[in-house]
Amino acid sequence: MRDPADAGPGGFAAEALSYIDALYGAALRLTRNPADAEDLVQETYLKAFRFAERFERGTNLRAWLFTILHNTQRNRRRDAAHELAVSDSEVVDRAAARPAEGATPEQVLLRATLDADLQAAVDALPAAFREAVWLRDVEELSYAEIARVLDVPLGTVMSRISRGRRLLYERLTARTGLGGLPLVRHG
Amino acid sequence: MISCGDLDALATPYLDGEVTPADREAVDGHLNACPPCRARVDAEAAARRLIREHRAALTAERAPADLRARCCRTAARRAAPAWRRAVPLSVAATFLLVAAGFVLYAATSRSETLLAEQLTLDHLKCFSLQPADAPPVDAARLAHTLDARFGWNLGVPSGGADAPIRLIGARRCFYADGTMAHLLYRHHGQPVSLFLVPDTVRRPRLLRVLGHEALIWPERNVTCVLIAEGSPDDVKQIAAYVRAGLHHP
Repeated sequence: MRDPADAGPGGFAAEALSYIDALYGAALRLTRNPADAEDLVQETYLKAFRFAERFERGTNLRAWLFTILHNTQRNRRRDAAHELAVSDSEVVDRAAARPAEGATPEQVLLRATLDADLQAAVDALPAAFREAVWLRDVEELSYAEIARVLDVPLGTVMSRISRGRRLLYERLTARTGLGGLPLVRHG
Repeated sequence: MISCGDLDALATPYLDGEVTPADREAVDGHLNACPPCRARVDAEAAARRLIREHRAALTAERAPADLRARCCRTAARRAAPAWRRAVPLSVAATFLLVAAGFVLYAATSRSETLLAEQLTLDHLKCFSLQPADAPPVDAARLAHTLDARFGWNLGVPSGGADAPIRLIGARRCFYADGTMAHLLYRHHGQPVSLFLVPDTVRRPRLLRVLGHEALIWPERNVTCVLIAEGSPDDVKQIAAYVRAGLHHP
């Protein structure tokens, strides 16, 4: 009884709209406030539907929408340089220092983290690193797609993902003090 | 054997499965022999895995309903091949007026999917515009009006005290071939729309469009389209109740 949506304009609109939650989440991370996030999402869809014929059928529509969203936000924030933390090497290198005895880095991290803490830690990452990690590990875009979304070279994508992940590790394990034990247990 | 510097550049694509087999082997070899690099890669691997495992919690954010409605309207304006403005009518109080509403072009083409999508967009729009304090709709009067205006000998599912659905509004939509009725209900607080389309008889269909279930079926000389979020079973249950109400003039 079920029917796939037509491949025509109705189908394109329906699929595009089905990603609204992911786009809103991205907009919130980029703008940090719900009103601006809503504007950003609306403008993204306006552009998406206006330029729908530019979308190459068969390619990743979700990635295309993310590209429009990020591009729109970049155009809005021409003086946003303060968000880009490029030289974090010291902090990142400390992540290689070893944790509790007998515990693998994975064990230390998993023990230390609750969902809310993880969300907060991700939110606290410098925007450039956060977006790269998010697009790879949450949205599962390819490196090439991420490069287009963020408008940076491929090498920069990998470097930002790398530093973002390790910075996240560093911050989450630093919270726990010694031996991977959480400082605060909830509930 | 590669250097620690080489390894640093390869670590991320290595974890993401984006390296050649030769590079993979080189990385494995270096990691086996170099504890600091092993620790560095394990830390990154742990963070990567943590995010992936918590993906559901990280993506729990939902776009607000009115934002959805606005973006759907954007789609409707772009996707509809042709439309006309609804003319505000001064009609009996049984119809809820929506001033300056956009009209949807309900295609009379073979595509029920297109019809279902258009009606789902209308469903979202009308509920986003529905005032919380709208007066209750008199179902019996509405049925009489539908009969007088459309020649439909149908009851209107009214939703009494024990009913699963409650009638909260009604409006008339113009479309290319005439007019259709849009009945707005709530089912446990959730919006449900019943469209009565004076159209050619269509075979019963259950479609999933725009995150909603759309159930289409013929009823005498009318096509009924029920739009709701929820499981197909939920929607079929609502439809069963609706059908019983329609047969009760």
